[in-house]
Amino acid sequence: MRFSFILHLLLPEDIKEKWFSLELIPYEVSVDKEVETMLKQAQIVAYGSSMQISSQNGESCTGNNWIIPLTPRRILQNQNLALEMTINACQMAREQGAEIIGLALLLGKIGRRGLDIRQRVDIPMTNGDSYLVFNCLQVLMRLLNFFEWEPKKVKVAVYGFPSTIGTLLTECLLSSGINITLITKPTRHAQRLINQISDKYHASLELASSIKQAQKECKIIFTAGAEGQIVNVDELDNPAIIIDVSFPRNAPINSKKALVIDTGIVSLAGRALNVSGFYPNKVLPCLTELITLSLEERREDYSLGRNLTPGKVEEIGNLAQKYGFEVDTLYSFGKPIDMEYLSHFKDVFA
Amino acid sequence: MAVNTYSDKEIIAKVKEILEGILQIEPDGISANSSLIDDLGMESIDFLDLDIRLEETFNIFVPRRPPLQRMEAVFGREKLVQEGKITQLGVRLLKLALPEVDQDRIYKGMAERDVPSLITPQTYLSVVKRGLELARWQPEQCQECGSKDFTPADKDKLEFPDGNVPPGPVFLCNSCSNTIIAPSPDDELIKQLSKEL
Repeated sequence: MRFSFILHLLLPEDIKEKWFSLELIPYEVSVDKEVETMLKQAQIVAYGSSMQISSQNGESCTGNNWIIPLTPRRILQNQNLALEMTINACQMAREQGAEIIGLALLLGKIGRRGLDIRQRVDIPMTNGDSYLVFNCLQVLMRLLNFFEWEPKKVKVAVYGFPSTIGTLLTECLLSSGINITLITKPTRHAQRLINQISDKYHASLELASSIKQAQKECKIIFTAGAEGQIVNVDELDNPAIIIDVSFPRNAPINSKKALVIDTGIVSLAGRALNVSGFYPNKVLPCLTELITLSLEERREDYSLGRNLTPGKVEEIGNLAQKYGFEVDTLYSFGKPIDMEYLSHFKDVFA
Repeated sequence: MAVNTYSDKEIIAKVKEILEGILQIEPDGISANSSLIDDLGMESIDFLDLDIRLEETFNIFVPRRPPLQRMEAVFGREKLVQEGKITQLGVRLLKLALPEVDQDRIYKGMAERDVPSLITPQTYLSVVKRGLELARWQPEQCQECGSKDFTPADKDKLEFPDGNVPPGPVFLCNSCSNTIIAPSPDDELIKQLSKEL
């Protein structure tokens, strides 16, 4: 089964120094007038050679990337342009034989989280959000394992509730037996959702009005806010591990007090899966979901719009693991985390 | 380009219809005074969808950034927000920019993070009305040559300083080819706030 992955530039420098090279990971969104001018003249292009994916059990699929020459800043400034370009890219991909499409990063968020694009192009799509949440859970489990903490005895904080991802993450954490403190304003909408979720999982959710307040009990904090930077790591009262789910990032730097862990990268175990034409041994969560659906020959819309469910998170996670996608390394700002450094937090938390 | 006229009731009905599509909720769940964030759970990316749909529906310009952010660029952030709290000038700005909001809910020292909670469908009624007013704007005379003979210009074919395309209509003077740009809706806000300073 053939797939196409539609993504946008992450930094203006992508076009300046490494035209359409994807070696950079989104840590910041910078502005450069000269580059912006170049971007305005750029066209949608198919990038790189075809990706050949094969599993040890003999399943295989192929795919390619299409690049929308817009940075996050320009996408947010001119959503219409971004939508039109993405729709064009989807149509071109379809004409070239794609049977399913993945909308990466912001392209999966605009236009009602992909629904508007889907309405205009007749091909199954996904924005990868279900696997993104699964990846968050895997990162957490990896950490708990490292710190030798029992999941049921740990309390983690979630910032970003009641956003779509924040809510889904909260549900999935609860269904994994993790105790949660929600860092949220108790709006009427939030309270309604809290009541529904509490009933569904027979759990009592604690609320905190700030990250500092949540830190009194939580050493691990998920950030899934949509507002860009919300965590000033230097102002934290206590050391913390921040698992940053957001894009643009909520926690933009590391410090002695805070280690920020990426959820935007998935390691390839390398044993079962051979993905050529992308990063060595790592892929984005949205691509992971797309490849998994392709290997499964699932020609269907998966993660689109607001209706994401814990059931889908579990399903796509289990399927992806079957093909060799797993968290075998933790990353911080694109670089593998030195376990010695992580041990420093083990000492601090002890 | 022809600009349609709409009653307030029609505008509110359209805003609610668009919100239903974005939030995928039942029509009964939205009232004109529902807080888009506190009651309906709108996220920042949803506001972009709303802005775009309003622009398409009414053929108007909708500012992408909220008034506080737009005015920060003019007056400096510290004049409007200090340590996360709204200043006196910030209060004045919000009261001017959000006339439909119960004015007692806007006060000096209110948390900046609470400002988005003030936004309701009623706010977008004002946004649309301002947009329609701007779309109808026509120059009285060319400031360069005094001519009253103009042609509406295609903004996509013109170059603007720093690439900043003006939100309102643009005309070309048929006598001297001068470009005449509609005043930005923020001009009046800036004027009013400058008086306060």
